[in-house]
Amino acid sequence: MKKALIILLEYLVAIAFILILSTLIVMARPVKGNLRVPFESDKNFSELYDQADLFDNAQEKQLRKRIKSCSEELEMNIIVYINKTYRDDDSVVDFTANYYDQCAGEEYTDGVLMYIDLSSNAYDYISCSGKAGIIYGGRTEDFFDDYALHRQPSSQTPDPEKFFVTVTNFCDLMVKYNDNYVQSDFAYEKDEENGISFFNYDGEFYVTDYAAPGSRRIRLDCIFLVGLVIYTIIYLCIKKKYKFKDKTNPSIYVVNGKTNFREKSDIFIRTYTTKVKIESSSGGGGRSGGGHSGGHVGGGRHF
Amino acid sequence: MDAAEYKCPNCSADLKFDPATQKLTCEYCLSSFTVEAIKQICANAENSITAAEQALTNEFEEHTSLFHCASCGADIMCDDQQTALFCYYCHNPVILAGKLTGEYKPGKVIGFKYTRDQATETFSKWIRKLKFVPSDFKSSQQLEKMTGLYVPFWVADCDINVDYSAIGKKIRHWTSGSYRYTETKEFRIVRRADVRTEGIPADGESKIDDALMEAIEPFDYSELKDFSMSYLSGFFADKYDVDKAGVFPRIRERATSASHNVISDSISGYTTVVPSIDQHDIVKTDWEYMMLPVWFMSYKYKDKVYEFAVNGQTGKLAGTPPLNVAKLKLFCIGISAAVSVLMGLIFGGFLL
Repeated sequence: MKKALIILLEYLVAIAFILILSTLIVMARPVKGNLRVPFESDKNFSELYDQADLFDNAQEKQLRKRIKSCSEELEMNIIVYINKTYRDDDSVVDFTANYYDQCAGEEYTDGVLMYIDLSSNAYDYISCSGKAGIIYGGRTEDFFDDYALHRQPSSQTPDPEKFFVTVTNFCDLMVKYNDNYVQSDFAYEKDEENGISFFNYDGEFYVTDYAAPGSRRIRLDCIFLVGLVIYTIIYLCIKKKYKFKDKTNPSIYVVNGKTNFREKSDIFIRTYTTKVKIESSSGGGGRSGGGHSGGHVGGGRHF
Repeated sequence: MDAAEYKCPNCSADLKFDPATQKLTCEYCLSSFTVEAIKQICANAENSITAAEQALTNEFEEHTSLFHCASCGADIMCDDQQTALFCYYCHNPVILAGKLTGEYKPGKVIGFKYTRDQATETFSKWIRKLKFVPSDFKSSQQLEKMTGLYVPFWVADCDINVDYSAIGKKIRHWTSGSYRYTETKEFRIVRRADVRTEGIPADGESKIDDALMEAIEPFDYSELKDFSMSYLSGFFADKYDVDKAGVFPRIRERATSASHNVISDSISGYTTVVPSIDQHDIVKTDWEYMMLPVWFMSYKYKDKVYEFAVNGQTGKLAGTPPLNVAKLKLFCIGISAAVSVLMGLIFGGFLL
């Protein structure tokens, strides 16, 4: 018991050492080169695009005002795009990224595009760029859990009043998640397809085409942990050689010539057969989650 | 009748009459005998000591010296021409404790056939393969501690009565249409046998690890000789401190294990075998007390004594090598660090 505790303690120390070592190695390399284009108030392109003609002029005006004020508060562009034409999920991901960059006129600006789908198989999606990638990108599931509370299902006829609440609630959620964002030097999001990383380091938001410090640390931790596993395997294999050899099998002392069977019988008693019907199995699955395109990260959900 | 007059033929402990079974039973080794059987055995065992045997016993008593280790309690025996200076178990000095009585005189002996040089060479070859033993374990001073030792053994020949019954099942599976079929054939397996084991040794020295002595077996009993003091010349010997009754549980375990193997070897072709009766009774045990040759060495490392033995007749070696854990850990750290660096270089760009 005591020995097991000592071994456990040794491994805990080794893991702590690995974490410290990988952190030191990662922090020793300076973070430089930032693709991010920070938000500028005079270039704010936040907008409401009501392609479904859902809102009347008064509602649109109110929503634009809300979106602008939210954008100024968060220091990032906010585009709300309401669509009623069906697009498949992958097309939505590509469309939102491209449309956002088209509005911005350049890549990696700070901002989000909220895609609200009014088609029968609605797929709402939030596409994040620049610093929004790190603030919202990793929390889209939580975000959509809150968002879903005020979102009318696609099975119902779209009610402008309800979607008005949906958009204002979306702005509120943006503020809430921004306020709750906790900075960490090792948190990161990644657009795997384009190799773009989003992270916060030393109080600054970064968009880079190289791995984030958090990503590098995870890789280093994995490599060191593989080393620890190799250490354990080698240690146990060698230690096994330092064990006592097996005892001599006592069967060698049996005298076959003086051993005799008085009775040696195998009598058949009965036979029986059982049968079990083979059940055929089938299954199915669904798809949910997020995507990435052109330096964007995000996530979506069907409604 | 006074049952206490009779000794157990298996382990020499007192037999007691059990009114429930109407048999004489041994509380120590759990053997049981009918009154008639035990009378017959005692009549056969009655013997008289010949004059020649008495002379040998006298010679043994006169020409053996007993040395005692005050540190670990070991009793070391040698002929009166030599003196034991240290205890080969704990390496502390020993003192002369007197002479031995005739009851410790062994009946048989196997002389050393494997020389000291051969034994140290065998040991050296073995430890050359071990890279993580303490440095001084490989030293010549350590090899000099190899001691020729006659270890007292109780060697038993056992007659075992086996009564075995089991249900064996042969199971066959196949698929037809949308059904999977399982056919089970049941057999009653009966084995009744008289199994004879000869020469199972058990050392009568509590200081030596039993497993160590079992690991250097077997000894070739065809080279057994009547004991003579001349065999002790140049070697040491142990005085037994575990008697027949003390070693009998070990003998019983090994003998019944051997008879189990005989039975299991006779059963084949079954998918499962579930025994209902599996009785292995040792009905008769013949004993021989003998000295068997062992090259013995001990090594103390971090308060633990490691014992090594080389069969003095066959050269078979056994023992648990001491492990320098710090040395091994450093080696493992080196290897795993090298692998980690290599992985970092191969898999890329963890710094990219």
